[in-house]
Amino acid sequence: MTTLYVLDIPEFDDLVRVARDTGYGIRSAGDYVEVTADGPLVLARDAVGARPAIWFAALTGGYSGRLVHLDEDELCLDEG
Amino acid sequence: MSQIPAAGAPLDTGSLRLKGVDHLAHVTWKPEETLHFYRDVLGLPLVHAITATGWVTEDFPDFVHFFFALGKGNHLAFFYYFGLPEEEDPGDLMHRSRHLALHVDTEEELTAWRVRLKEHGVRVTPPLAHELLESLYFDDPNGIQLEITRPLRAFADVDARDAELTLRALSDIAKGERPTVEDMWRRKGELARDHAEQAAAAEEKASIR
Repeated sequence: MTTLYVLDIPEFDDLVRVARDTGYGIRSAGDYVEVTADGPLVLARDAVGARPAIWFAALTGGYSGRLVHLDEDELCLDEG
Repeated sequence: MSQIPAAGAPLDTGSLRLKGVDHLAHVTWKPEETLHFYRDVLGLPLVHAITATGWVTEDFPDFVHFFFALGKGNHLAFFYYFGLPEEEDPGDLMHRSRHLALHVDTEEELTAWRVRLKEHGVRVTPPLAHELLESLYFDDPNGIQLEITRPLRAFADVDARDAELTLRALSDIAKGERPTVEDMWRRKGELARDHAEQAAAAEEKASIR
């Protein structure tokens, strides 16, 4: 299981929407939205449409797993 | 030695409250350019100047210490030291990091300041939208980076609670030998999970009542 905690603020609404549309588990968790995946959790920046300051802060809520990459195009977390 | 409190948790200061910035002080080797820039370009009133021999310590140089009013009781001050050799410029990262951000309320004001700075020959960046702020960046004649910024939204309670967890995560991992941002995010994930469990428990308790 890979888990990403996304701070529940308007700046991250699009990221949560894309995670939901992708089929990842979404659960409200206090101040955070818990996004879960069986295996890799991958989000494409094009789909999220976030400006740089928001995109590159996407992991600020923390995660459980391993960061594979967070670059200009994609965020990828995996188990481990 | 007193115990270090958890990150972000304030010590009880009783009725003691600090009330904003009285002044922030820098050193200048360019008094004329500094006066022109802050008074005539940024429009900050020059409100005070001290001139003195170097009485503070044995090797303290003779100096002029002058103050510009930033509004709301805040001031920006400069020291000019007689006979002090000019220091080398800081590296790029320190130059960008040690900056002073001045506040405006609206996008229109931010745009108007950019126009004014350009009219006075100041090299200024286009507006850059951060998380909660949108900012212009430029240098004063001393090479000190300045920012004019406007809020994109106000800080909310959720931001403060999240900041507590971030600083707790950072404090926990910064004690390690070579802390990385990944270490911090994984620790933050543990703290966020704990927070989520506490929130769920509180919700369940409330629903039982």
